[in-house]
Amino acid sequence: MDSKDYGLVKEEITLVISELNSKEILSNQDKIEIEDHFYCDVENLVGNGLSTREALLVARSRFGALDGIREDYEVVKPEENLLYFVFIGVLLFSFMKGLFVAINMIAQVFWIGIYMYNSTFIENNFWMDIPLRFILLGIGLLVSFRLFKRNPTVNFNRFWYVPILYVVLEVMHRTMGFVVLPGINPYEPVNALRTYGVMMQNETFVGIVLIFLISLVVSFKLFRLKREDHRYV
Amino acid sequence: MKNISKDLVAASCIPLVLSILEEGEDYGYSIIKKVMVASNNQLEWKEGSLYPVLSKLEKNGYVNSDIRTENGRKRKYYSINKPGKSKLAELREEWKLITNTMNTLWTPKTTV
Repeated sequence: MDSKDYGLVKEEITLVISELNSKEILSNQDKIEIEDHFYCDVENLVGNGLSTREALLVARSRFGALDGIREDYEVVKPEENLLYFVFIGVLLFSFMKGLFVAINMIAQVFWIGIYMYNSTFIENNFWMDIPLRFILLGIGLLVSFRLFKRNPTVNFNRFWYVPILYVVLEVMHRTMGFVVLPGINPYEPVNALRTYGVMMQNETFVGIVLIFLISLVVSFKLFRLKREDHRYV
Repeated sequence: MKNISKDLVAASCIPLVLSILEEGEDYGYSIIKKVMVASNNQLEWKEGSLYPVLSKLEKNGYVNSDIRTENGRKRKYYSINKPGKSKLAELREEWKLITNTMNTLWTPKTTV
């Protein structure tokens, strides 16, 4: 093929890629791949005796309907959609909050144990409780990190149940906080239940908003980094 | 060429691609041509559909890829990795079961 023919092929490739990429879903690697495909096919067909224009027509027809291919890319790369970022944000939020709630619950069980077996031990509880929470948080993060390291191209859709699990944990945690603990703890003042409830509500609302926003920013940055990483590999 | 239903092509696409990559690393266009040769030019594939499939395989961690420059043109090569080989073994067993069942059902029964 001479330079004029290459120009024709390049023009067609640009057209195909811009149609496929109308939703900015293709990475640079995808574009390289499609470009290489067309050059290979046209060269092959020209080698078999077709003119460049004929070869382009055949190559374009063999490539298939662009709408369908674009839809396939959208299915494969859902993280390119804004909604998916929101989903990841909710997932991260639920995971982090769920981890903290689980730790709180374990710590509460630990406290109940202390109350039941040694009610004079209360002053020491505070100092025992903090390391316990740190140890549990450490274990939780370590396990999560190892899981993600083992499978770095994890499909987040698989974790759809995490927000549900979090809600279940939150309900259990609140039940423990409002019902079980005040009943067991003889040192809890009568009005402490109401104060504790209001405190928990405020804390939970602020926590939800903050962690949700942080999760969204983190997930945006995460995927932007991922895209740039692909661009320069 | 036979016009095979889209569902069947979609179902067979991943084992076909993984089987080709098991023989050695390869790039998109070459994979398409190898499928054509293997099917004796009988299998009609919309060629562009292969690329989202390759993307999916890479995302699921079954293949690795790298970009190389050949004769001044960039090309994306794929190679199968360990999880990909396990997946292929799994798919092979499934397809064997299906084809064996079909063969049993479709083979004319001889009466003694």
